[in-house]
Formats: sequence, C-alpha cells, structure tokens
Amino acid sequence: MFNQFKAIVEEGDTVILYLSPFQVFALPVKDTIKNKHGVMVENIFQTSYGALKVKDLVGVKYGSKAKLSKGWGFVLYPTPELWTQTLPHRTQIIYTPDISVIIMQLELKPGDVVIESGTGSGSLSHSLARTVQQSGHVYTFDFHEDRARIATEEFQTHGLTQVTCQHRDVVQDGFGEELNNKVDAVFLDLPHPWLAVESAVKSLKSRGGRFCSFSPCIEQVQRTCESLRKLGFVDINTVECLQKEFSVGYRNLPLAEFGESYNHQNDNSNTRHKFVSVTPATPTMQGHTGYITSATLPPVHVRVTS
Amino acid sequence: MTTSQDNLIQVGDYVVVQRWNFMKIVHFGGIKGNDFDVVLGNDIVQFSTAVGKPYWSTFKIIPEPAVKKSKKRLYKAELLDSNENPTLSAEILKEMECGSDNRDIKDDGKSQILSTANIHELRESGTSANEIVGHLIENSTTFQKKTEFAQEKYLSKKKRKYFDYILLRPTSLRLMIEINNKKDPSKFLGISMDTLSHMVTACNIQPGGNYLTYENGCSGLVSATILNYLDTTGKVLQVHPGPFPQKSSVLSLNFSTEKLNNYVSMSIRDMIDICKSLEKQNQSIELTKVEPVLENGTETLVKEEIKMETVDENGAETPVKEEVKMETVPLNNINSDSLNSTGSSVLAADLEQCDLDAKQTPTENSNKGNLKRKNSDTQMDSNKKSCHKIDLVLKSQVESILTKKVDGLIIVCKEHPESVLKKFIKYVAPSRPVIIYSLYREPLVELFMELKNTKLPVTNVRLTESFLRAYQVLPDRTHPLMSMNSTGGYLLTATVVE
Ligand SMILES: C[S@@+](CC[C@H](N)C(=O)[O-])C[C@H]1O[C@@H](n2cnc3c(N)ncnc32)[C@H](O)[C@@H]1O
Repeated sequence: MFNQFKAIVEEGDTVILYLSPFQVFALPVKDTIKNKHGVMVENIFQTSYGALKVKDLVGVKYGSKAKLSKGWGFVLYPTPELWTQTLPHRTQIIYTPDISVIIMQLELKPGDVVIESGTGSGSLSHSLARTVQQSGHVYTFDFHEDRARIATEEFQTHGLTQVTCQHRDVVQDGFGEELNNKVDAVFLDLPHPWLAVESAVKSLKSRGGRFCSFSPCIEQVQRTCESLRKLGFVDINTVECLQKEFSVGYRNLPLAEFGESYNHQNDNSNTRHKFVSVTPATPTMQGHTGYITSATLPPVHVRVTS
Repeated sequence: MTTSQDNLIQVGDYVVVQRWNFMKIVHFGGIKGNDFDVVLGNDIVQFSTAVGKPYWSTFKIIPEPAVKKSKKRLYKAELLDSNENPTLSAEILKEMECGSDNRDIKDDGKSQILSTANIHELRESGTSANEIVGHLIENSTTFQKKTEFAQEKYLSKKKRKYFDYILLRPTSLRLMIEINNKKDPSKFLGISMDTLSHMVTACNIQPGGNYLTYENGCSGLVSATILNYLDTTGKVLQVHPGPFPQKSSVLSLNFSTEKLNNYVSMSIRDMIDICKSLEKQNQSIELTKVEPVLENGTETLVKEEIKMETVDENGAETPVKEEVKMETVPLNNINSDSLNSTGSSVLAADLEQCDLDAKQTPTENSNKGNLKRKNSDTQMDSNKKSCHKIDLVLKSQVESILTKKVDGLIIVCKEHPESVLKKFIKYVAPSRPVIIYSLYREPLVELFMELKNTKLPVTNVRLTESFLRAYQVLPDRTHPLMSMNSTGGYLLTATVVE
C-alpha cells in the first residue's frame, strides 16, 4: 500500500479523502470499524458534504472523485505526508517540514538500515520507511508498551514490512546487540537524547554513519552536542526549519473618497480595486517546532573520543 | 575497518576535499585520469598519493618550492601514517569541528605587520597553521577592535588559508548542496537544502517510479536528487532545453552504473516531437471512443470566469458548487490549443538559453562534467549531420514512460514555468504530484491562480516558502548564526486528479 503505487482502491487499503486543505482524512477501506467505545460498527464516514460508505470506494481509481450524499471529494493515494496530516495523535509528532530536513540530513537512501526512537505516533517512521524502501529496514523503539503495539499494528496495516517496532527503553537498554555495527543512521526524538548517543555509536557501522536528533529545547541540544563531541562525531550542526504557507486569491479594496464628484457610475470597478493577494495561509503559524541536530560519525580508523 | 573497494579512493571518483572548514568536490584524476592537481585558493596540491587510499584519510601538504607554475604555490600531499600518530587525524577533525577559540590571543600593542614574505618563510620552516594564525593576530593592530563575529570570520579565513592538513571524504547529496550553496547558491538557482528536502518529500519517490523533470540552470540537481532516492528499477527522465543535459550534479554523486542507466535525458525539441506523435495516436484512439473525450474536455472559459469569483478568501475549495458547474458546461478542447502555442515558445526560449549556456565559461563543477559533456557534444555534432535523428532506443524508452504516465513532474528552470507545466501535466498519473520551484514568488502566484481556476486537473495546491536558521552550539555560547540565507526560493505543489 504505502510501498508501491497502485491505480485502483482495494479492500484493506488506507485512502485519503480530500475535501479541502483543512478537511483531509485517512480512511481504512473496510466494512466495519471500531467506534470510540470499542464496538464494531458499520464504516460510514460523516463529512460536511454528507456521508460516505467507505467500503464503496473499492474499485474507485486513485485521484478520482468520490460521491458523497451532498457533494464529492477526491480519493487520493496515501503518502507519508498525507498520513502525517491525518494520523491519530498518541504523542507530539514531527511534521513534514522537519521530517524532510531530517531525512536529508540522515543521508538515507534505498537499502539503508536506520534506527528510530521513540516511535511515538509513527509520523516520522512512515517517511523513514519510504526512503529506505523494502530493501532497507527501520528499527523503531518506544518504551511505552501501548504505543509500540499500536504502531506495530499500523505498520502492518500499511504493508510496511520493512519496519520493526519494539517495546524497549533505549536509554536503559540501548538498541540491542543484534544491531551492533549494523546501521547507517540513527534518529532520536527523546526527552534525554544525549543518554542514547553512546548506544548510537555502538549500532552505527564501523565505516561510520549519520546521526540526527530532534529536540524542542535548546538545553537538550547543548547536552546532545556535548555528548556527540565527546564520542568523536564531526560535522555537528543544529538547524531549525519552518515552512510558511501562503494563501493566494483575489481581493479588492475600496478606493479612497475625496468628496470630489466625478462621473457617478454605480459600477463597482470604479470604486474598488481588485488584485491578487498573497497572504499567510493561517493568521498564526508554527514559530518553533524543534531543533534538528545532525552529525557524522567517521569510520573507526579516524574516530577519536575524548 | 572494512576494506571493500568502495571505501577506497579511486581514479574517476568524485571526492570531497576538506581543508579545515572549507570543502570542495573534485573529479579525482580529471578528464584524462592523470590530473591530480587540486586548486585550493592560492595553493595547488598534488594528490596522486591518494589513489587507493581509504576515504577519510588525512594528508599533510608539503611545499614544493622547486617547481614553479604561475603565481600559485605548489604542494604535494603526503598521507598521514595513522600508526605513527594515531590521534593526529582525529585531532584535526576536532579542530575543524570546534571552530576557533580566541581566548588566548594577546594583543601586545605592537604595530608591525607580518609581510607575505614573512608568512611564507614561517610556512616553509614548518610552522603550523595555528601558530601562523597566532602570529598574524599578535601582529594585527586591528584584531582586538573587531567584533566577536568579525574576529571569528577573520580567524576562519586565515586558518582555511594556512591549514596544512587535508581530509578526503566521500561525496553525498547533503555535502554537495552545502558546498555549492556556500560558494554560489545561484548555481542551483537558489534552491536551499531545506527547500530541496521539501521537494523530495512532495515527490513521494517510490520503488519503480518514473519521474519527469524539466531542468535548466541547476546543473542537474533535481535529477541527481531523485536518482539518489530511487531504487534501481525507477527512472528519471530529464528534459533539457539545449542539445545536451546539464548533469554535473548527477556525476558528482558517484552513482552505480546500474543507477545511471535509469537516468534518461532528452532535449525539449525531441520531447515535443514525441509528445506530438503520441497525441496524434491518442486522438485517433479517442475518435473511436466518444466518452473519454467528453470527460477530458469539460473545461471551458465560461466555467473559469465563474470560478474566479468562487476562489474563497482562505484558498479553500468549494467542491460542491464546482460539481454542479461541471455538469452544465459544454465541451471545449482547450488542451490541444494551448499546446501548439506554448510548445514553440518553450522551444524558442530554450534555444536562446542554450546559446547563453554555451558562452558561459565553465565553472569548477561543470569541469567535472566535461568528460560526459564532450561525449554528448560529439553526439550532438553527429546529430546535426544526420539531420537531427532521435536515438530510436531512447525514443521508445521515453514513449513507454509517457504512455504509462509518470509518477511525478518536477520543474526547476530559468524560464517561466507555466508553459512547461501545461505541456507536460497530461503525462502525470492521477494522485501524483507536480512540483514547481522558483526563486521568484510571482510566477508561482500566477500559476497558483491559473490552477485554482481549474484549467488543469489538480487539487491540494500549495504555495510555500521554507525558512532555515542554523545555530552555533558551544558551551555558554549558543546562538543563531550571525548570517543566514535570506531565501531558499518558493515551491508550488499540487496533486494531479482525474
Ligand atoms: C515525541 S514522541 C516521538 C514522536 C515521533 N517522532 C513521531 O513523529 O510520531 C517521543 C516518544 O519517545 C518515547 N520515549 C521516551 N523515552 C524513551 C526511552 N527511554 N526509550 C524508548 N522510548 C522513549 C515516548 O514514549 C514517546 O512515545
């Protein structure tokens, strides 16, 4: 599903229903779903344009219109970005602008092996999985049992066989012997990332690799950088990325009246000026999400710790 | 440490040469495979000793005063023996990392200034770069009066110039962008690392996917980026304005031949020929089937005008109203009209551009592309002679990509993107992205309005700008960097629908 394009919706898919920029939903294509009381009910999705019997989407082409009782919406192929936009939040999540920078900073490519902790709501995991593809692997860890379990189910539903999610406290127990010298990159989104840097070194390949950590607070960044320096990382770099979205559309403003009488026409065009405006899409925007700290671990033969 | 071949520096590799915090990408061995001179500022360093050595090796540069070539000073690079002094290369790495610390710099108040000759003497007597920089500061009457920012900048500049150790590292997409954008962002049309990362995300690169790029003026950055994230079964089809593709970025990343085989490039002129013949085929098919024509042609001017007013304030769409209108509008075949006019104008602009490019003096990076460039030059010559025939294998490859429809369209060019988008959008499969980058906001705003007016089958249209702030993180001295890029360009993204 998330792993390979397909043209037609099939049972078991997760589809994106797109109504407007602010009304985007991820829907599992099946007969019944659990409601909030844990009871199985018929899978009918209510929108402001009417109801949709989700199972009816089977056979519909991705990118085409789905009829709702009072209108229609687009059925889109699910991408990690659309998933991040629609997923059920179980924790704070990392959003697409930061995810993109993280993926590039980790220098990931198909076939790579990457470690992630914590799994949280699996927002980043989906993008990691797409980048390393099925020839690579994502090992993701969370010390919260329920989160690890639900995430595992989600990865399964989405067909992401290249993701393994484990319930584990990585600060206490590291990433496991099995991964020693096996991975190309390590990513941390933890309250105390600096306490897992040593384990990251153990897991990274002897030819070295990339490290990245996402932290909302500068103190976390300082401690992490200190630890990275001690353990022989180079190219240590911290950035913050924000994305501004614009709304574009026609607007018009009244022309100033100077009380002078010119040919009175009841024509709007003479009293209002119409123009294309470009304004921020929302009146407030994310001013801060987190700092992205990245670093290179050089190969063992030039690595030195202090 | 692994000893596999891919960890050893080989002739023909593109290699990152790092001197303190200065980096550049070098085609190791040059075009002929026997040129190992690396120019670093006023120094030329001979690197033949590096062949077959592991990546991440550190070299000390030794002056060769005997040989004189032009005004530059000559050096040879000698591998640091890690057995002899195992921590040295790491020490160098450390020093490169931590940046300069000027707490011990004393101003003795003397006003004498070291002459170039003095410095040269110091260097030849084996004085280390750090010591030289120390001397320079001691002998500078102005240093202490500089702001902290200016001091650091001065130190960094001097150190870079006199640092005697050089590290050879493998290239990567990340380093390539960083190196280029430090030196000259205009070579990638101002695309910043973060903007490029957002393009990659929007592109949703999947195994076996086919991606169509129209690139002009960014050294093949887009193709290189997509190839980087693509498995060995997907394809990148780069359409380029001139007779040959700009692809120095593709070469810089040392892709396997397997991957490079999936990089297909074609001039806009040949591409338009293929598009035209495909359209003809389609038309004859559509004549026999009536329904598809109705479906494709439901866009009209009448509808556009109504729609203009319904684009609501916050850019939200109004699917319900649209639906009603769609049912009432008659058939109008806008698509093929706009094709004929835009097709030729793209071509004209491209040919002009191609002239400009040819006149440009080759920059460092395009030098690296010389080998391949030469090849395509000669190909081009023979093309001209044989009255411009398209390679048949290439042609059928491109035809099959277009008939299957591509999984993404990315436009990064010097031209106004509108005609390019209109030309190629019909070859994009539904539920797949189109991504247009521009250094300027205005063309994308125009295009946004155009898309909103639903002349083209897209949804989820977004115009964004990315902002990246870098930090210095040092104990008790953490703050954003004093200078930053003022822009990384703008992105327009949309999803193609039926
Ligand atoms: C902010 S969330 C991660 C969100 C995730 N990056 C995403 O995009 O969805 C942090 C997660 O780390 C987990 N965590 C915290 N400390 C941990 C530890 N020592 N070992 C493993 N997981 C831990 C928490 O349970 C939480 O789910």
